[in-house]
Amino acid sequence: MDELLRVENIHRRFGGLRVLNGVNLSVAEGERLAIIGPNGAGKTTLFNIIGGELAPGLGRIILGGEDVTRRPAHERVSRGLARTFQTNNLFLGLSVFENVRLAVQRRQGAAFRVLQPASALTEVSSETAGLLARLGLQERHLALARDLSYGEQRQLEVALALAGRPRLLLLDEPTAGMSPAETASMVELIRSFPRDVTLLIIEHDMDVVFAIADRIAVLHYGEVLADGRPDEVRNDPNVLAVYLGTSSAFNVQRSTLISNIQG
Amino acid sequence: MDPQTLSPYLVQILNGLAFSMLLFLLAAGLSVIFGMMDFINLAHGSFYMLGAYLGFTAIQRLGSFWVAVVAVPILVAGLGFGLEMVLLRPLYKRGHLDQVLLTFGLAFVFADVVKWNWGADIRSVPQPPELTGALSLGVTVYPRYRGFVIVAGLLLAGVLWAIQARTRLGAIVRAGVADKEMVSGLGINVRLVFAAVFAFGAGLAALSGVIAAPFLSLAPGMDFEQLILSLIVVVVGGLGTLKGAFWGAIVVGLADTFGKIWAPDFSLLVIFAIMAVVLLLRPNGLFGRALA
Amino acid sequence: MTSDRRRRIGPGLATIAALVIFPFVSPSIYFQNVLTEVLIFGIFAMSLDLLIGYTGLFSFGHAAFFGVAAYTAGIVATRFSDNMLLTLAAGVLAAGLLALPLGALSIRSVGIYFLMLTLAFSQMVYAAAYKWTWLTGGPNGLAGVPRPVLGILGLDLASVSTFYYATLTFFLASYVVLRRIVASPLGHSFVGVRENESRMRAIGYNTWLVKLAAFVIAGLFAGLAGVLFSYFNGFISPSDVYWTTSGLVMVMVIIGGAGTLLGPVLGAGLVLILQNIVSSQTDRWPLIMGATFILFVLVARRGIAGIFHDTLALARRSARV
Repeated sequence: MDELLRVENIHRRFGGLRVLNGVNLSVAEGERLAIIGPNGAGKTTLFNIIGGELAPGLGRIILGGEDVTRRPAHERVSRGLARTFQTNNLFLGLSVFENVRLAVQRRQGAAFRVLQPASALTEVSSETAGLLARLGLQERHLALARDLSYGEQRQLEVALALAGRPRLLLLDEPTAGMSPAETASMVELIRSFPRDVTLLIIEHDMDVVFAIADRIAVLHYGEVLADGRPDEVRNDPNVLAVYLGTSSAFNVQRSTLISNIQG
Repeated sequence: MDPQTLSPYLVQILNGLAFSMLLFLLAAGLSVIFGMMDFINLAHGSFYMLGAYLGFTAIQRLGSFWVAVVAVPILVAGLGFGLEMVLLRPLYKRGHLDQVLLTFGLAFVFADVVKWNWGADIRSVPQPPELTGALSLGVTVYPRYRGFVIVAGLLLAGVLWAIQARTRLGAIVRAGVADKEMVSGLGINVRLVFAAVFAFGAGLAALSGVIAAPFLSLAPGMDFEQLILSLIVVVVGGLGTLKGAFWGAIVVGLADTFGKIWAPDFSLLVIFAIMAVVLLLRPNGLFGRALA
Repeated sequence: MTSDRRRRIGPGLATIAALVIFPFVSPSIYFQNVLTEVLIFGIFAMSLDLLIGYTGLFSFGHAAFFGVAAYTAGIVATRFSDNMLLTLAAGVLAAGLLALPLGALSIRSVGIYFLMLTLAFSQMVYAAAYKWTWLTGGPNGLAGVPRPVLGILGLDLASVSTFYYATLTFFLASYVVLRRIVASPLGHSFVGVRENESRMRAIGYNTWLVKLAAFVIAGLFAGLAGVLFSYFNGFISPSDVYWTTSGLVMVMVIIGGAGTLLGPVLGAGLVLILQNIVSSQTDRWPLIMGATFILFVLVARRGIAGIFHDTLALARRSARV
């Protein structure tokens, strides 16, 4: 399979603090890579650099064979990248429908049309409705984003990213703050994505990681400590040494979560 | 270069510095208020003007510049405190549009009240007898009063910096500029801090007015002139930073002084052009952080 | 027509009807002129609302486009030809051409930095108007701007009511076009940028381009207002490009209710009429104006448009009961 994303020797400092210290990753098309690591390891910073919100101090980002390091965020989106944010980054004052419609009209290339009312673009409206239905938000489509429950807002986060029909989707802690039931349905949703959507997911919940990821990369103090299949990473001596206290998490062979999903 | 050709430049540089100190006092309050409370105060020039006119009356009635320099800023700070608590507090949540309209309205009201009370004629204020005359600077002489303005300004800058860097209040203000929700989360009475900061800013502006009165003349429109200049200072220096207010004031003060000599009709334009260039190179001012 | 649609269009048609028959009901030249000026500033205020209310771009230099168009139309009319199409096109084009570079440079900054940049650029336009006496008449201004000639229709726009109708036509046309723009995908993009610019970028929008589009469109309509103003006034001076003009139109937008298009028109009406009445009665008109602004902010949270909206909602609720 072709390599879709290459993160090459990324360095980034904030003042005196070195947050990313030579990160190298390669993600193949269709792969699902989970990035784990303690808080402050630099995971969200890495996402910000891949997404284009932040420039690296050193290193390159190669997307689909093209060096996009100098390209701003919106140009990476048009090359097939989409992301969600760790803290909800929605259009709070707009309705759920309008939130997604903005993303859909962009994807369909209609964002600069002036002569017709937006409501007349039936393809945009139907694609928006379809996406909302897929995420179970259609009942709430008229509600303002700020009036949604936390879990619904997280879902809207994902909807905004999916609307772009990305080939590379960056999910930043999609289940953060969710109840077990909400988490299970988010995992179900992610597992339902077609395989041609490559996933990069930051997660703390190891159950979720094992349910979704083909590969795991462990980020520790800005460096990749281990990178491989879940069972490889689980038995990696470096990882065990660092996570001595939580090695029990890695001993979970088959979580109840997975067995629930697979019925 | 021999001292004879240097001395006019020296005089003008000192003039520029004197004006910079006045601007600094204005901009310091404006910058911190904006940086910390995210509040646009278009009535800030009015505090300056009130300081100047109240100073004029105080000197006339009491005969003492020094009493005026202390009493008037305190009075105006009190006015600022009251204003903040009564009128401005509900506006923090309302956003910049409403703040602009309200403070614009306040500025109109103050300007008209001053015109009503003191008339539209140009007034001047006598210098305190201790500070009249000239200092000898070796190559040239320089008006003692302006020398006082420079020294007083630098001293105040030092005091403000010390407060900000060394005291608990200063730490709170700096933290507030960085993240005001966190500060209230720390159990500090943010409302009181805001009111105090606003009052302090108003007092500084009034102090600037009192000190300016003996060497600039008092006339209607001085409030908006100084407001625009201090907004430029804040923008050039960067929001919410004392260092920015100081160096921005130096840049603008010198530019204004030399601009008035070299391009008398367009000194303001020169300043605007400098501001535009600074912003194009550093979109957040010299020392500002990126806006949230 | 459903009753809901009738309810929405009804007040609008009634207002248009009122505006149309106004000169017959009140033949006084003074009031027609006041209303003409209100309509001109209404266009000006709507254009700024596109920037401030819909896109969240706080411009304090909008008078630059108003003034450049007014001067261009005036210069063309006094030196070349008073043909309306020519002067109109020249003025609006000048405003648009100015808006492109000014917008491109200012938009890189946000918030107060953007505000000060727009102020700076418009003060530079003011300085040019003041200094280039050979072109603009300098501080004495440009006088003798004739009412334009619309040969095809044979209309004499020197007549007060004919000019009023011409202005009304331009106003209605502007309103319809701006409504269209605001409802279009581009208009929704403006709102998206206002609500959360970083998320707009993260879903693929070139927000710089969106903002520039808003800036130029707003500049074009401000230009239209400027051209009409120069016809109306017969005279343009640097003070029309001064920051006080930018401040005045901004006050109109905020008092009227930003983000409603119609609100700023009402704001224009209120401010101009108040200014006219109050300044003829007392010297203390800045005090009264200032107090009015303060009152509005404290009492009418969403401006005049908000008052209308709330009153209508209240009326409907009590009618239903």
